[in-house]
Amino acid sequence: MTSTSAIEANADPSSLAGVHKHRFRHPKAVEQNILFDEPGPRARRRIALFNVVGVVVVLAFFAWILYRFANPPMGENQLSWELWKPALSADAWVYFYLPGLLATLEASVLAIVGSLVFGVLFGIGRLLPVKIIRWISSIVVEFCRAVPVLLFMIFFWRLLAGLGFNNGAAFWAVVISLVLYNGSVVAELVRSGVGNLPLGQREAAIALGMSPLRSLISVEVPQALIAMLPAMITQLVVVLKDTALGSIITYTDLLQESRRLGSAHFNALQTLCVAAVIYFIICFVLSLVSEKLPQHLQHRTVGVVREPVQAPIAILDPSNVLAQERASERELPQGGAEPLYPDHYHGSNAVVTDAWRYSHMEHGHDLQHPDEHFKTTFPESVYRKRSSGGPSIAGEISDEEFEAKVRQLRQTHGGGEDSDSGSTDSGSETGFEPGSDSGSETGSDSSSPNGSSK
Amino acid sequence: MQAMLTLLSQYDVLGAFWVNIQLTLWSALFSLILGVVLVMMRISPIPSLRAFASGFVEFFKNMPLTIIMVFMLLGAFVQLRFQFSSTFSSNFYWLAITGLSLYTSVFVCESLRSGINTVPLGQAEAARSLGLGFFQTAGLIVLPQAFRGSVAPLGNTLIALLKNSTVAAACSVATETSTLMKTMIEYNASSIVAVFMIFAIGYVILIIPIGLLTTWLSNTLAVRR
Repeated sequence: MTSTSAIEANADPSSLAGVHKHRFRHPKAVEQNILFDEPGPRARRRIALFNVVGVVVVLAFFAWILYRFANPPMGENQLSWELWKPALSADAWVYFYLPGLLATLEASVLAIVGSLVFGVLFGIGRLLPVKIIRWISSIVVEFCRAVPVLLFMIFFWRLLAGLGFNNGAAFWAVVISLVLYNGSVVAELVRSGVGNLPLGQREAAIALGMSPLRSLISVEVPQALIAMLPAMITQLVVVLKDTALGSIITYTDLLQESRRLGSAHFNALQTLCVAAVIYFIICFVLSLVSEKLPQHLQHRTVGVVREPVQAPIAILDPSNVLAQERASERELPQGGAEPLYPDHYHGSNAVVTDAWRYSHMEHGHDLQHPDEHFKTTFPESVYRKRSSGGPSIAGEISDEEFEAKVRQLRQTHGGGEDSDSGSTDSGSETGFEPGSDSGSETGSDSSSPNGSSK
Repeated sequence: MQAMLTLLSQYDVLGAFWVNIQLTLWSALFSLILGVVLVMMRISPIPSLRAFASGFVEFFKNMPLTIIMVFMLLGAFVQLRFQFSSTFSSNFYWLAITGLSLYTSVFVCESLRSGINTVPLGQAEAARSLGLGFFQTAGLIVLPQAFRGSVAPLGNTLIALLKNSTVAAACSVATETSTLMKTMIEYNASSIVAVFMIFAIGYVILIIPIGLLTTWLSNTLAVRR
């Protein structure tokens, strides 16, 4: 995000300049992409004038904050060195901040490792063909995503204390709660990561004689994990931020330690500021890493590695990833008509259908024939299975329709592509995502193996 | 089950949930307003405002909500003497809403930005060629479509906000769910699982309709292009 904002500052200053900054685009591409006409001399003067006004307003805002710090009604000057000194002294660092930070990091590391394990297990569970396992994993994951982490923490804290863990109750409560919540998020990341792989991977694995489970474990999930690594680092930021909740259940993390220090010298405001800066720096660095990482990882997976689309995944769930992927893939920087394709929203905390598997990537989408809604992504068996009972879902077609479509498609393609049942290979040629093809940028494309940018 | 019913009759669980819903609604309102202002600043042609908005977003995005809430209590109230009301309880209530709004507005801003990405460039170009200025382009053309395109992330932000409203406990809002749960567990340690399930199921029940509504709305409102 910061990289974008830096770019924004350099970019064309005309109106709505920041709008079409595509986060996945190479910075150079952004700069070269002049979105609007250069503003003329008058517009430039006006912008410069407003810029000065803006600077003044912003400075006035900060000045007001400082003034409020210095003169709280009936209070003492919060900027005085008397109050800041104990918050910044060497003792404060050695006895409060650093142990607190260590505790925070300890809980975060343990929690992220645990949530990886949890996430991979339940992610695979949700992808298995066995109905009962899928059901159980879905219920567990959905439940863990819906319940506020703080409630988990209080529950486990009291539960563990009741079971006789006196010392580590708060610590383990923090870790377990974070594992449950973030693990369920990771499970969704794994699931959507596997969903984003080209189907050929699975087909190849099956053709080599692997069982579906073996294919998941050896072929699909590892690639999905690499593809989702940036999003997982964002998740690490979430974990780190959420450990601060531990202070509510008396876990002595950074926040709790700074509160303790603050209550000793009556300068909680100052100590909290220091703690806030520490939190900010760590989270910010991690966010930066997760933004830079995709470029380095792309060659290790056929999935599309991308930086996490947006931080709300932070506070929420990976369904955001899909939703916002879709939001960004719709961009058409050069304007023009968009290809027609249904714009479903797949997944929220509440609704989990299998529709994401079917419709969020339509491999067979042909830009030359945008009205063709035939989905060649999934093998016949998938459709067959869905159409024989079970709820109706987007992308489902009956057997007859399917056969007809296959025949029709084979004809239109001149029978040149003799692929296996029901999957014409146009998908792998036109790219992953129909929408992104037309909107793809020069510059960011090259990183993606299928020529489609995300 | 029996334990749950007795507990429900003993404690005002619904009232606690109502407090959380109120916190959520107020914060949603304020963070929506602030989020729109932020996103307008971020897309404006004025560099200083853009820089301020992105700094603001980065700052709150990388800040734990708990520390914001504790700051609202110990920093803003105790030391800076910010007061919304003379009574303690409503004062804490509004401080918590302030903290939640500040934190959430950043995510509203980011959701809207992702929505703005769904608006084709041609729309803004057409608006400009019609002679519309920045506010007209943003307010009449781009933002309305952006809102329709960002229903899904906004809904997710709302769900997160509802869950985050439990953190108001860190700001001494004593009537909300997590505090009540703590109290209930203290007095009914034997039926701790029942207590937890009451609240957990309560949240599941609250969140499912929001998710359904979001999905439906985002499919209904999405601009078909």
